[in-house]
Amino acid sequence: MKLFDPHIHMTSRTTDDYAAMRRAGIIAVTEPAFWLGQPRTHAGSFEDYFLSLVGWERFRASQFGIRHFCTLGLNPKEANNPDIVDPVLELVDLYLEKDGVVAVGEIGYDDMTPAEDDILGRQVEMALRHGLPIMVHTPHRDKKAGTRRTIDLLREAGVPPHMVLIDHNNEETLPITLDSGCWAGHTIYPGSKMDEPRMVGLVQTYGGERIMINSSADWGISDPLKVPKTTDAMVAAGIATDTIDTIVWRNPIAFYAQSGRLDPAELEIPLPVDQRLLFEGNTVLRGQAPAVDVPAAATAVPA
Amino acid sequence: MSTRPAERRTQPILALLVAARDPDGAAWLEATVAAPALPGTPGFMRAFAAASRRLRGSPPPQGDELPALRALGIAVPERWSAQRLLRAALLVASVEATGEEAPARLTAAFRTSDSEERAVILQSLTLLPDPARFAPLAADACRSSVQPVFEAVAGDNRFPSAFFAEPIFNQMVLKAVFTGMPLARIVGLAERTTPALRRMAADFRSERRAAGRVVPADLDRLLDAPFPDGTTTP
Ligand SMILES: [Zn+2]
Repeated sequence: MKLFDPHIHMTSRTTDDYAAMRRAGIIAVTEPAFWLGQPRTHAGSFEDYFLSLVGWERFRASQFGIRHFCTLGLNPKEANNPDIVDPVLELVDLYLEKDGVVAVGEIGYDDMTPAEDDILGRQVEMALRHGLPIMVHTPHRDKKAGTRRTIDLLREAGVPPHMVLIDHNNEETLPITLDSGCWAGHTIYPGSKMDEPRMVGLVQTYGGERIMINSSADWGISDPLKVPKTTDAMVAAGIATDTIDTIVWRNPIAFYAQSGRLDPAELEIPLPVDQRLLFEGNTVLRGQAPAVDVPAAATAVPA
Repeated sequence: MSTRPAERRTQPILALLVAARDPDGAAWLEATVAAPALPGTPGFMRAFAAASRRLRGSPPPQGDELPALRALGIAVPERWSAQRLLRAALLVASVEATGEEAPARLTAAFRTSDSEERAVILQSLTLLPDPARFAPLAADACRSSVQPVFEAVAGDNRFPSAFFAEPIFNQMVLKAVFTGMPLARIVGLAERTTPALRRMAADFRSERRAAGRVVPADLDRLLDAPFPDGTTTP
């Protein structure tokens, strides 16, 4: 089965992770821009981060046969630093034009401060202007109220619900999200947010329509193989293959393809692993013989 | 800075190839270059990025277009996409409107570009007026770890053999060997093969042999080819 992890922070992960993900069937990922565990103090740090998401990280993923897309935005955790907000939002507006950018995100609430309201509103306006979907982070604290408040803000701004993915849902927020008409993401984490058996229960109750699962793996305790592991749990629980395929492949593609920058037909053609491209310097293959899936001539040409 | 009349023909030829593919794209290009934003400015970067969402599904250069593009300075136009033609047309118009600030401005544009945008800039250097002034930018691009960016400058490109100083050219050739880019893709390599380059290549081959590792076949070819004067590597 082909798998798509629609929310994973590969910048924080190792090449072992990439290799294990590809072996487990993950052939496409979306990396939302987020914080790096400690707040950045200069707007320029965001520019280098955005550049790495549309450049270096995309290339790194391709070396393992994984297609990499990203979402860009100013995350709520760093939205409360007035020194960086305006210049970072200018950068977001500029970098949203880049080719691999398939949504504005992850944006939303953390502490639900007035500053977060303002920055969320401005980025929603940008999404409408760029014709991009929106990927929403919901808060850990006061989650139900935060989810409702986000959905209300988006509705008032005139964003069609099919252009919105509300992420990090749980048993209590999922009905709210599905009622709103938005897409519903679920983060399968070791020991918090959501686990495999609970996710199986949600799918048994609600089916696969507009439902997605992701690992949100990052620099914290997290597991980049949660999408394949949850897929296995769904198979073991007897959930229909068609439903599983909808959740782990067709839904992420349908949602992010609304950006016009992800071609569903192209995604059906597996990207070859070309470790010939992984040699020296910063690249990952340090002296081992490269694995090449295809004739070199077919991969040497940038698209 | 002088711009020869011949160079001014480049942009209209690219625009014609765009028009042959997509009249809407051509109209957008014409409107955009009527008052071109300078390279690296937000206006330019927006247009340069958005260009990739036009001419989707249009064919790459073909037929009579190939010799025409080679005559402009593109070494292997077969490897260009329709979007590259459109982006190059934007870039040429923008650089032609820039004057003496062009190297600084193009460097700024390069820094804020994604990988394919960087590749277009590098592949288009030989189309720009007075290309020699962009040598520092091209040399810096050789340091990229993103292989498609490195290959856009080192491979299928007349720029390095025409404008790189020997140490930079030699480093580029060695990096191509290291990263597995076929040396056949380096334009003008035979003419630029010097004793210094052979010495570097020979040292590398000897290191590889000492380590019991495979010696890339390209390296043997480089070392075993006679110099233009008929002598060979000792
Ligand atoms: Zn995240």
